[in-house]
Amino acid sequence: MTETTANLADDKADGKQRPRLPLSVLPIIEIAMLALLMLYPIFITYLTAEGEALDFNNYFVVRVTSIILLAMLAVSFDLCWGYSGIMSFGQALFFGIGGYFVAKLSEETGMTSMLIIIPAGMLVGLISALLVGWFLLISKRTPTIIFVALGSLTASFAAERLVAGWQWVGAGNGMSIWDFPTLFGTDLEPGIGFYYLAVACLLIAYLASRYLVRSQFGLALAGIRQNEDRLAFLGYRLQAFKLIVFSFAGLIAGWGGAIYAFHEGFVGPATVGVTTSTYAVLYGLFGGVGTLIGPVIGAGVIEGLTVILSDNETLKAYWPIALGAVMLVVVAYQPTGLVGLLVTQRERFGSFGIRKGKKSSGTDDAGKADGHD
Amino acid sequence: MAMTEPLLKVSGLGKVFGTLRALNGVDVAVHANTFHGLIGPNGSGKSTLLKAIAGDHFADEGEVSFAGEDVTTMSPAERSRRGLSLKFQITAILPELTVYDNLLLALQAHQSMWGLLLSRSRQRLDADVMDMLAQFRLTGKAHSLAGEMSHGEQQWLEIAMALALKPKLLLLDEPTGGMSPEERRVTGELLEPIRDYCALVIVEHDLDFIKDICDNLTVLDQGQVLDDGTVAEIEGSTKVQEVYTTRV
Amino acid sequence: MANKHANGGGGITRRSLLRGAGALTAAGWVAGFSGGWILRPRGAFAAAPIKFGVATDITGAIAPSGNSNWQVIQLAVKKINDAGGIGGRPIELYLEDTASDPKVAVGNVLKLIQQHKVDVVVGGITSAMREAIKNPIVRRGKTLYLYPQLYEGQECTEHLYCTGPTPAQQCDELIPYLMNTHGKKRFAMPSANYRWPQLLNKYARALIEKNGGEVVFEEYYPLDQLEYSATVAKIKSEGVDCVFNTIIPPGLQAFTKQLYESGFQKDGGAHTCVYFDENSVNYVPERELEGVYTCLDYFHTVDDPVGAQLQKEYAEMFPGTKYLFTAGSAATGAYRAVKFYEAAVKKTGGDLSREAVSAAIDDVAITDVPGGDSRMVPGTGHCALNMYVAQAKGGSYEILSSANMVPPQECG
Repeated sequence: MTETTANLADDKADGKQRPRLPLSVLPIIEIAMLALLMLYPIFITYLTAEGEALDFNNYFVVRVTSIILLAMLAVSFDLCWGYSGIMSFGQALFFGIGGYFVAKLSEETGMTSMLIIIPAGMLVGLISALLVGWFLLISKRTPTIIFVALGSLTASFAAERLVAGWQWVGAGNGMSIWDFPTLFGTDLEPGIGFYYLAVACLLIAYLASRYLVRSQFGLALAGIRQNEDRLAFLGYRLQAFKLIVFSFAGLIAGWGGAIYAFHEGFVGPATVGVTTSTYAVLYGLFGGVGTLIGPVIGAGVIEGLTVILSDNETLKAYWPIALGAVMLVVVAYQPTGLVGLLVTQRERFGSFGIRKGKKSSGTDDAGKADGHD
Repeated sequence: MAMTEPLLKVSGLGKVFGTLRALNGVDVAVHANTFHGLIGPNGSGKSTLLKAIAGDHFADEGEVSFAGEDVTTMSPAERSRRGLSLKFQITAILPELTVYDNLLLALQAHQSMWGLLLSRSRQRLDADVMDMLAQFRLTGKAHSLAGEMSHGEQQWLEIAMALALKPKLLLLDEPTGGMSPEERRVTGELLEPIRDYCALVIVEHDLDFIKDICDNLTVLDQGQVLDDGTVAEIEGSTKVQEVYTTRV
Repeated sequence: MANKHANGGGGITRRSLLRGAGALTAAGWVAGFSGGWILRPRGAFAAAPIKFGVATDITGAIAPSGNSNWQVIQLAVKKINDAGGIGGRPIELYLEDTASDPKVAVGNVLKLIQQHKVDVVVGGITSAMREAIKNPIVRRGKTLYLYPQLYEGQECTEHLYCTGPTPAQQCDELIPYLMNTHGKKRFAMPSANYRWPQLLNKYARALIEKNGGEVVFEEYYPLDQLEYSATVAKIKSEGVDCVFNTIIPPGLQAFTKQLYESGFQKDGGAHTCVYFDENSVNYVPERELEGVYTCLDYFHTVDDPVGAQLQKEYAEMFPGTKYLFTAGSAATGAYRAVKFYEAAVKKTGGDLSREAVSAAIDDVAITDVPGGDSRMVPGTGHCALNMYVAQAKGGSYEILSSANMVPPQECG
């Protein structure tokens, strides 16, 4: 995926001199989102209390917890498409496999501890992504974007049909997870405790991804994004890079999916399937790929609007159409998504050396070398 | 004639594109620390030959041998790891990254995966980046986006990137294309110092430029070697003069 | 929210907006508006309302059944409220659409439990839906759950009560009738691929074989499969004389069409489908239904004054509705669920806590329900029902045989 240089002219009205906006908008957005997530449960509980006793485990907290876990799926998509040129139309495969694996594990062994659920989800996400990635990404000639997109879509579709027909994992009914997950012996029911656990997981996955894409490895990814062939000539083993990122993304998806299954108490064929995979793409494109925070925002907005609008009978019928229309508009006119309205192309690509520019780069997070957060 | 083994030896190279025979039985020998030019009229197969040496195309017949090793079927990445570097005809710098980052990208290419993930060499390579920036007169542009520089500057960055990993042989495909005369002169100045550690094979249309910096030349015509030798020999060669006056 | 009553007539504007959602009309009710549907009774009541949650398929493939459930529940609750509520407390209804999609349902059910904090939930039609929502309701939501539909049995979850027929109740009369009275011996079992058909087939097979018959083939298809020519060809070539059909929509329509067009029924073959009832014309054309055998807890043609009266009141409350009050769509089970709940709350003296109501409902009997009286079998979570074997004839069902208080034989 080669970026055109056309955008640069827009971003820098007066050429190479000081740009008008401070360059580092991304960290501001990230911190704002984090603050929002941390304070939301408290805020919403007070808002909806209606004079009764404060119940922090209310519906709005639980609903948003699900969205936070879906945001992990969105981040995993961004690692693939936003950073490595891998159009994965099947990320839900790893998300759902994580869920199915821990559901079955729990059913067979009765284990419910988060300390097992999380690593199990990560492991099965990593391994399945490694296998799928090996098949899709490794070959003598670099696979085209279309091939990877269709291949991953097919994998997700095939998985959905497979589990829908397999009685051992509940077939069309899916699997109900009866027990609550436990953390250090106590039940973790959906509510404020679970909410903060989800935030913690998203945060850790986010920070790990951020570290990855800002490291020297990330520099190589930035190069691959712009001109793969050039990097091959420099001596980079492209396919190794892609496989590593794809597997890591799978790990995050599996991690999110495992927790999600225990939060919802249910995992079904739809969880591994094409619809969920497509939503991962929508979160990313809508929020703005290549920024990590964009897809998180995308997931929040799309899922949030779905919940809010589902209360309104008329709007509910038209919401999918509206969503589709919005997607078309975003892809056609604002390909960098919501976040792209605020963040320059240059900041999206980032800077990787130990020294940042003084005059030509504008203001900066002073003193902070990239990659250390 | 040099008595030592040539660094690069191309023997009987042939390349066919469908029904078109682009190269036929081409032999080239390039010695270490020499600058070797490839010239010839349009369509003579100069670029094809260069790409076959680089690994961008694979030869259909014949052999490419580099530093004693047969690299005919190796991928560009593998050749690059052995010290054979290519600069493209079309600028292939990374336009969205800064000049600094472009060079860092080139310099870190041979780091291990772990090293890259942990950013182990970031500190150490900073000095190398600054050195190269100085060498190629790009220090002031260190934090400009590569895509925003003039064409000439972008070419120099490209050459710098190709040289980043201290290759033993650098292949340049029309490096002065689109440059002003002043830029051409600077290019020649920038290239001269690398002779100490690197040989050069350069495809060019600008005969003056080639005669200035190269030691030896190979002249191609319609996919075959017409003549080769030192610059002086070729200048005096009647065969070559004929070709250049009768063909476009 | 305790005793506020919204103005009457506000519902008309909302109703007219619901062109797509079908008949969510509620004559005599007052509509609220935040989240799903809330219906609050008019008039003054002394005590705080009982919150009754309904989670059913208003949209999607199962919508015909879901809508009839919703309407029947409204009728049942209105009658109770008109009579003064339960112990002076009115019932407020809260509806969430499970949209025939278990994944969506889980989220919507959450609203009923967490946002509206209902005291009981009636709902789910397919077993897949029940499986998906029982966890959020019973375990996470700690709420009583009444499941109204005929199903495959083996649902023994505590605080989950089933008010529809079980395989034993449906097959114990039907299979022997088909085999002994009509001499059917060679059965085919084309089935949807999920639990209900699998377990129902298992029970039926045992009965068939016990009575000297044979199951020629038993096959499972994905729910959205629309191509059945191979199946129908096999039915004809293997000399099957009775098709024990457990395919559900959306595949159902394709199968019945292809079966009918093959001339199977014309040649004397028996088609039986245990969830077919008067509502089935909403799924399948009448000519394809003609002659189908079924066994349910109620038909409009049953000689039952209670049922007849309820049909009248239903027709008055929902004039011209296409969603009929029938047994195969779980509507009778839904009606029964409301009455069981009423009886249980009367027994607890108004204590709405789950433990109390559950203990009460476990051993309670009801009258004034279509098809005849029913009673819960203690300790099993299922109820004994009158069962009727019937055959579709010109759009209505002719009762061929019946049995009273057939035991469910589950969880015992």
